[in-house]
Amino acid sequence: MINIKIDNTERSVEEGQTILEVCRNLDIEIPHFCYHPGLSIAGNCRMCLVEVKGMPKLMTACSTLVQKDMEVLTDSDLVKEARRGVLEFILLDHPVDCPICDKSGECDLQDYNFDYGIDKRRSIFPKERHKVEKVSEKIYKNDNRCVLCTRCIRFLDEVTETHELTTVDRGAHTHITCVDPEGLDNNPFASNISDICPVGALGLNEFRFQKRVWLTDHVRTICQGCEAGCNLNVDLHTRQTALDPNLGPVVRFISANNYSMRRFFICDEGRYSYSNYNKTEERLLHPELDGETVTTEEAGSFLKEALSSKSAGAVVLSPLVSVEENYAAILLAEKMGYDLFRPSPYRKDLPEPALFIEKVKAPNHNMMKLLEIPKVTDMETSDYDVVLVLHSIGSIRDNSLVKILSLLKRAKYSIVFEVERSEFSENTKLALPAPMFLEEDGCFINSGKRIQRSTGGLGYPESVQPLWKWLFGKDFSGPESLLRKFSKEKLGIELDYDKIGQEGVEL
Amino acid sequence: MKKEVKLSFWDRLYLPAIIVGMGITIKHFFKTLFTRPSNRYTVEFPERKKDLPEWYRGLHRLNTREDGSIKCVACYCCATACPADAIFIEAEDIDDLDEGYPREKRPKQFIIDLHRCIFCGYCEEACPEDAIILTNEYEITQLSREEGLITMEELVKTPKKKMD
Repeated sequence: MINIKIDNTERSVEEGQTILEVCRNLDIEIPHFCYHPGLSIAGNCRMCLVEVKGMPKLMTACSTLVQKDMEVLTDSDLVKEARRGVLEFILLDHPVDCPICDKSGECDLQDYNFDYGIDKRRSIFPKERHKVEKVSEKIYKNDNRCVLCTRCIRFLDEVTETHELTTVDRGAHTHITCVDPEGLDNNPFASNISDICPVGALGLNEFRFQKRVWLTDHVRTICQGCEAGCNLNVDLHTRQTALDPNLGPVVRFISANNYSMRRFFICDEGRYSYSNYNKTEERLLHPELDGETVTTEEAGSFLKEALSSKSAGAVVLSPLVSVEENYAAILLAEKMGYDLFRPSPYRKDLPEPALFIEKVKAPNHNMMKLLEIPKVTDMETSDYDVVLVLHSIGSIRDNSLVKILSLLKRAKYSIVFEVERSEFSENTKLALPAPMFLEEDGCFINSGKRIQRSTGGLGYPESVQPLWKWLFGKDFSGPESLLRKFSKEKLGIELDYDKIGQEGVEL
Repeated sequence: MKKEVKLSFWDRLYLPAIIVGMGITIKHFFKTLFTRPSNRYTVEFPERKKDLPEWYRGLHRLNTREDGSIKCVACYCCATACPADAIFIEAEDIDDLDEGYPREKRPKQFIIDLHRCIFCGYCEEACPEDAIILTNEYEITQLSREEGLITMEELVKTPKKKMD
């Protein structure tokens, strides 16, 4: 630890960091375009210039390491002047077409120009015009808006190492071009470049002109695609107006930065999986007894009857369901002396540069592994009278599926708790509707043994209840109380949602 | 809260108050009868129409450019500013890359629900392209809810303000 002075305040900071990183951790804003925590340092946008005492000129905060007794000024007149100048240069050839730009509302250039820029354009020369170009099936490029931060180029060079984009021409005519004849179509991570673009130069065709970002609500969740547990920011459209067509509530998934995991990007498969959560035809919305819709009370009385039968029972947990819901099922099994099993999650062959995609396609598979729950395929007998199966959107392996179906068919009381209608709810006596992952708070344990929190921003429909409500009613006040009990009894540490925070806790 | 009104003896007699009231009505009747029509307070609508001030906020109009294309770029600023959620826009991509004025976006649908609209003029205020304005047109009645949904094609045809 070394002592430095930032804006005349003594700070004790760790050595080896840059000024920008130090300031980010201290919540001091330094505007920047080209710096990205997941990429190498380019230092070409000149937006992060700060004043360092003893240096003849302003220094770029993104590339200057902090040193002992350094004195940094991030808000002096000289720095403000420099920012104004840089913004004026960038805006010389920027169309300022915010009304039609899909980035507006979350655009760095827009924010910085409001905070540090000048209102008036001094240049009288016309701006250069380029055509909007589709660089792949998924991504469009608008050169007019580009600020040449080269984040996209560095992402493709350093992270995916596929080198599709590069800059061509010189000076004011510099622009970004796709040099790969196949475009970006074969890259399973390409859509990240629309997230990391600080302006609206790169965007997703699917989101183009669909929705303005300020009309959506944002929640932070965990990707359900595989056990990697990438962080997502989800845009939800909850404020439906009278004339809006009945679009789904989930507008898009974008990547969220997780500094403690050092992960800033997501795969395209996860990004475009949002449409799975907009389907309504298959959704199980009311409890069903023998295929017929029943009320919550009738379902509750069947559940009571099943749980009071005092016969052997089995609970099949799900790697697709959150820690809290699984733990509610575990609590039931412990109380009634039922046997616990887990299905084997679905595995998929990985695309060529796999990076952070995992083979196991279930977000909570590591909870099952952590608690050493036996596989359902290793089950010795299958004579159970009471069977409870948890399931969610996603798939499990075929041999587990067959085993669970045979269990359900043999049982006297078979109960399935799931989100969408599947083979399970077709072959069971009682099917209980479950909230999906965006509808309730829940935690997931990823492949790096990190417990992370997913926020439910949607809220579940009235007829749907989480499992702990079905089983224990008012014994628990909410999912957080289940997590507290789970962490205390199974992990031996005290955890709550505040402690897990946005970035999770390593177990 | 219930407010109790104490009536005086004179009011409780009922008839004198009625006579006074009728007196006022009849006075106004004759006053209007012997005034020239242009000086009267009332207007013989719909034969005569009142000249409305310039700032009057009536039916919306979508302005067009010189070449006849619609000025609106479907930025949703008006829909965002609208306190009554009366504006519905669906955007569309256009591949018009004119050298001088390239356009990318235009509305595919632009619907104003006149039954929701409160004619506050925020949409006009928010519009970055001067595309939507509220005109002096005030004869806007419909016979059904559906007729109150005014589409883009109708909004373009709204007559301009006199001063424009």
